[in-house]
Amino acid sequence: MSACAARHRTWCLAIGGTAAAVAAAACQWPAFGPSPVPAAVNVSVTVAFVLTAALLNGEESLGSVTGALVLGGLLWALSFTSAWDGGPSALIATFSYAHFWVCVGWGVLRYPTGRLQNNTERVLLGAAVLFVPVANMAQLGIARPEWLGYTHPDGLWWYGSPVDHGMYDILTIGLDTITVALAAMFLVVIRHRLRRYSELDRRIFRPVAFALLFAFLIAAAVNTVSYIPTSPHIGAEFTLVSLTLLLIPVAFAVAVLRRTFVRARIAQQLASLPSPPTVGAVRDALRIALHDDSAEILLWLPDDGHHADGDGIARQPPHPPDADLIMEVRTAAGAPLALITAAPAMRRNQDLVVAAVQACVLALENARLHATVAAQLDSVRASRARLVEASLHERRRLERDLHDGAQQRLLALATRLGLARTKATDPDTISAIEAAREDLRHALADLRSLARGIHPAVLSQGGLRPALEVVTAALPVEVELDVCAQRFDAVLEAGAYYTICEALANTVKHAGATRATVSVRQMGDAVRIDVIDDGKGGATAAEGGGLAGLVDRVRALGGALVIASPSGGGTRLTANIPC
Amino acid sequence: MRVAIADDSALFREGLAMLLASSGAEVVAQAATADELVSGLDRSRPDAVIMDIRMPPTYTDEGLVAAERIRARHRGVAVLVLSTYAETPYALRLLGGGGGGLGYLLKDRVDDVAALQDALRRVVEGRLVLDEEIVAGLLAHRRHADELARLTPRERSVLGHMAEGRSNQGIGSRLHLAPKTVENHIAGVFAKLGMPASGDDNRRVLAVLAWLRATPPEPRPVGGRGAAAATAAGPDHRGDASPFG
Repeated sequence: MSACAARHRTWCLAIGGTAAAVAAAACQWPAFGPSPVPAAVNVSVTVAFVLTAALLNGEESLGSVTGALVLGGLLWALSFTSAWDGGPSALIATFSYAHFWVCVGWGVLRYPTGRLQNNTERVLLGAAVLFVPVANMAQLGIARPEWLGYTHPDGLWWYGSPVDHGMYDILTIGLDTITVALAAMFLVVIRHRLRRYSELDRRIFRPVAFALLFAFLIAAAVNTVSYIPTSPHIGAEFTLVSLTLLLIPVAFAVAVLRRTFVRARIAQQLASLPSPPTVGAVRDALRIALHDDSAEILLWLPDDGHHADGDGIARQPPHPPDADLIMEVRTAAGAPLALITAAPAMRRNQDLVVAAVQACVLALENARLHATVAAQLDSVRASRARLVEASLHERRRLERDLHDGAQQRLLALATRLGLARTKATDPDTISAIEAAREDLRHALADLRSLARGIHPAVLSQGGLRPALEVVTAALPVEVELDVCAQRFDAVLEAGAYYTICEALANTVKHAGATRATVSVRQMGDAVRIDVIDDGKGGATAAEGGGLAGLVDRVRALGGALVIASPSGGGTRLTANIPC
Repeated sequence: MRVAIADDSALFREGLAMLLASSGAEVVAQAATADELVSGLDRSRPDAVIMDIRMPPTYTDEGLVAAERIRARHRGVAVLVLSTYAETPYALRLLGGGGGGLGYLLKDRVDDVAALQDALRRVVEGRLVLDEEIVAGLLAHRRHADELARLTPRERSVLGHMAEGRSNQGIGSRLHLAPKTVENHIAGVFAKLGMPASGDDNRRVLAVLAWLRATPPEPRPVGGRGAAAATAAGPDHRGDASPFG
């Protein structure tokens, strides 16, 4: 039925509004003569209640509040049938007026969950239902119509037998006191509820609660002056109550508006997420939007086979599932994406959480993608670092093997040739030995050059400064060295060494420079390397070029290389490598 | 002459021992590590030790450390370090400590008994001996190209021999020059390069090395001849010292 109502909303509103207006006007028709404005206000209260109910119909979070509103609107109209001043009008008006307050109280207590929260509330409502209507109907039975303000008691249906007027007054004071006490208890219950509610619920419930409390207070105050409308002349006190009652539909409208704001806030929060979004940022947006600091996103990481929270820490989804509100989020393709947990109190705002969760899906998918890529990058970096280290070890091993093996063998051979040379007397033998010795010298020089190219021993032994002194001494370019004597990690030293050698090789080959400066300094937790020449500049890190290789080499060490090479202005390579 | 040898390569050690024996030296001790050599010095009491630099346990600079210890505790023992590589920083660390009786040669020199004998004799006499390859590398350095260009070719070779640690007499016999001529050349070198003249050969070596390693006092306009000389001197030694090839 509500689906049908939602589809033909305009018709429902028009018909419902008109019917309510006609019924309300009929109820107090005679009052339009003597007090047209109060009567019109009463009609508008009924119409406002009914229309609000129709408008809110379909808002599942409102529970059965809509029914209470419609009923309340009709009861309010019926309360003024006393204007007819005859027949059952006094009975109907008294019955309706008393039940109106019970109905409104019941409706508000059932808001926003659709049910009462605890036994205190049940007892309170039960007491009100039992006491207020019964007391009011009983009051008729022990009074004369005149005592209540009816000016033409002759045509009125009445019942009971009147008691002594003094006795009646005392009983009335007692009933009034109990009524005020019930209103006060109602206030306490509402206050207790507001305290217990989550921030979100409080924001939504507060306007309704305040409007109702205000109306109750006004009604209780009016009750001490006059009980119910008794004639076509509607007193100013009842107009005041009517005007106050108009606040209730307004308060419900505000509550609905606030929920809408929450949805808008979700969208706004998610729109202001950083790019790329992080899970932590999505979670924080969710917490702000839902006013729930315990909300958490447990992102499912399929590669790792576990969930991780917004801080990236592996977490088990909470058990048992009813401890929190848990919602599963899936990707557009239907694969598990995340679990969103919120405080149990959020259960009654599940629609908002669902809206928030749906808005989060894309951001979360994005965040997971970024996290995955970042993790893969980390692992690639780590494996690259391992490769660099392995390659350094391999180079050192090769150099050592050459040194201990081939080089020593050839050097031993050199001693034998030297010995043979001292023993030889025959000129032919001597010249043959001299030739062999010459060849051996070349072989040793070649081998030395090869071994040094693979890994200079002086680098491992003395560090960057002596190694660079050796290598720059032989360059056809004057190189000024400003290298700290400090030792660093072997991998870093080797990487820095080859980077500087390659940079200087480029300087010699391409820059046409006359001077170069190499500086190596520790700056905080990084080593800063500058290789500067006064050559022709214009160097670029073209794909596959020497400089691109340098960039790769420095990156493999987790550092960054910056090349500044204006045409005609020399070249400056700056590498920062973490140490 | 009593000689002790330390080298972790048994093959090389044996070859060297044979070579030394054939040249009339008495090999009184052979060791695979520097520690073994140093601890046996009191017993073997050699005139000179011949050591590698890279030896167990760390294969880094054991030879240099041992040389320092020998200089400190056994002043009478000359030290000739034989290295697989001609590393200027190591040579300077060894020789720069002051005093004489120290030498740094490339291991390759073992194919020339006469050169080895000569070097041994010189360190035992208390001189400093530096491998010609290192001297050539220093001389080839672009840093002093302009100043070195002012020397005559003969003066340049005299400077080289001074740096290798030779005496005036040694230089004269090498270059087939009369002692007086050598003195003139040396005076010319000192005057042209503005080096402090020194009669002591070892101080002279250190002065030459210090001058070669120092940055020129003031920048001078680049002369065409100087640049040419430096480039001409460069390639001869790049093959060994450069990691690029």
